[in-house]
Amino acid sequence: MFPRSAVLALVLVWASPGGGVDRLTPEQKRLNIESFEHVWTTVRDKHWDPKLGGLDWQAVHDELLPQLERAATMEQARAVMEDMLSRLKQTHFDIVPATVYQEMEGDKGPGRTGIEVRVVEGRALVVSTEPDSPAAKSGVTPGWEIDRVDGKPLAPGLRKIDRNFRHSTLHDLMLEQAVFTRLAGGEGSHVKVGFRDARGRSTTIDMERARPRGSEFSFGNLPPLYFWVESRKVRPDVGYIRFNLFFAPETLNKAVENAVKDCAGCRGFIVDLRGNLGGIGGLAPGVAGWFLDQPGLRLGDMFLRSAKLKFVVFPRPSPFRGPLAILMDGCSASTSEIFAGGMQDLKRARVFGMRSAGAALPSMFERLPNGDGFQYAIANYISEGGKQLEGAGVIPDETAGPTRHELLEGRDPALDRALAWIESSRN
Amino acid sequence: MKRLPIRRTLAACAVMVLAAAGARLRAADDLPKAETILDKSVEATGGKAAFEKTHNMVITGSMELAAAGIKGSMVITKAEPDKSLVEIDLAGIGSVKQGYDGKVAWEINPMQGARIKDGDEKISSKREAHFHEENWRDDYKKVETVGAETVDGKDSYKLVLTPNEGSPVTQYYDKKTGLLVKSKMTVNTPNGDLEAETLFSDYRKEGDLLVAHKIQQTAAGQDIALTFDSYKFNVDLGKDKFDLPEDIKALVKK
Repeated sequence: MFPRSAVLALVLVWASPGGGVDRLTPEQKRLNIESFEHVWTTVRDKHWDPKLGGLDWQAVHDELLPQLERAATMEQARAVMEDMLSRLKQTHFDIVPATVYQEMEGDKGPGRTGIEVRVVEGRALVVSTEPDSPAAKSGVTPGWEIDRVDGKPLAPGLRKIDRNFRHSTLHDLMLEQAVFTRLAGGEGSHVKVGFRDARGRSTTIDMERARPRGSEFSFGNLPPLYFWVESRKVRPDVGYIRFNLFFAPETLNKAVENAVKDCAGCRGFIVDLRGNLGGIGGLAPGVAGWFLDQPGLRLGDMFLRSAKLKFVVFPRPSPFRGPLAILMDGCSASTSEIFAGGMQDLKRARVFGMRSAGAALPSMFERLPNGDGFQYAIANYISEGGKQLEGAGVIPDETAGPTRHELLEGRDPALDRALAWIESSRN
Repeated sequence: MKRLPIRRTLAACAVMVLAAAGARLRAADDLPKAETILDKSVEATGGKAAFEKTHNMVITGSMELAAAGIKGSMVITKAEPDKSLVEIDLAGIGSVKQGYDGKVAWEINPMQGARIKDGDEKISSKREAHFHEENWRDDYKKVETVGAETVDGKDSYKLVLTPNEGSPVTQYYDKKTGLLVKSKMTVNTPNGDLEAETLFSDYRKEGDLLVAHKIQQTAAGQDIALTFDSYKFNVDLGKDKFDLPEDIKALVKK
């Protein structure tokens, strides 16, 4: 359950040789065979089910290797490897063409504009700007559309990603990441962002990238990550907390504790996990403990190759017992989904927003010798209600995603619906 | 070795943060009795008289989950008859504490907060806290030698120890030295029972006792290395060392 941001960051710095429809050179054929063997061996050695559900993996290898050896183009070679993975009949085992990676390259350092973006119907929309960020200081507001970065249009790349991930729950996350990485760069470096503002006028703003929001935290082999948490009352009697990662356990739990204590008499509480990419899995039940008062409950089970781990929740001394709303979107992943899916199954929370990224497992991305990407999951996760979140995501109880018009009007449909539900729960 | 208190406590500590050689079984009647092997181990690690002169101990060291790049420091404090406090500071996670005061088994960690252990987990904590474990007969209702195996290049006896409460533990003792070299046990955690395999090495004398300075544990597919730098015995711990923390007291009152 490593934060996908870190995984993606690793992906982004890799070089990416091109694919294309040209016929393969002997060297490319050799690299494809090497890639095929790597994919096959990785699944054999790392899949959580050593029996692969009864699949004769060796037979799959022996059947498909000759086809790979006959492949004349990258597309044909890729299709053979995708065929191999499709025999597993499981999501999040995928071959990602090298050209897709090229669209996500560009993250050169911890400098940010402070723009939070979502791609809605092919358009990259600003959904918020971080306080005191370069974007906020430049007057950028929610609803503005980003159409080019450093003079390069976004649309062609977004269309390519849209095609490749159209049927994947990762669709929204991949689109968001593509824009995010275009905007990111070294701290102090400049980026020219082309917008269509509220009136539809084109405008270009030169921004100097600043340090990312929050504090830098390290955990194990992960590169340093920036963590932030904010809480307030969105109404006098409704508490609200949002954080970008399940990270920095002492800081996060203290923030949740304070928010809950400040809201002891509140009518309702909102946990906003939109854009939260996950983090340390054990923090999902840890945070859940602030909202559950019954011992012995769990959010779900994770099945590793050598063990089954239960996500047991231990109620905190004075948990919040009123209506709980959780906000999600397509950029909510991993530990966020474990938290939201489990709380939804326990009927402790109602979920508002968009379907989550369906990346509830510690899935890994690697780059293959032939330049393509390889994604594979190393564990299975089943929520308390028996749902497999991987590849499916958390389905909101009430679907609500923003349009450009709503954003320009300063509205937040998911938050509005959550507030309305809390209001209706008063009696 | 100050054997069992250290071994069992550290084995549990390692699993808390996580998330054999081939058998050459021999006929049981060819093997020494388990009681003989366990008594020999007590003698090999200092002898009963040396253990009886010890009333408390403080162990300091470090731990590492190399694959994940996670490191931390740890302090283990134990006192007779059955008090225990384990304090671990893990980079990126924070401070983890576990204790047993003779009645209540508890844990406070940055992920889940404070909780009281019960069931099999409490039984394990209680047994781990038993200070004079050289009196192993107090803890185990049945011990049995079930075979011989090679562990880390050492010919060893394989014993199964059945505690008065809880699951059996398998332990391996070096035939030559009598020292414990490996254990296999089911560790009860709130997230489920995990099979843990632990190797003990780098035995060196501390005071009158021979103790392991390195432990390598594998559980749930993760390897944890523990290294102990310092053992202190019969130190002034103060009166309240094992008192329940306020968060735990609040849970006890509930």
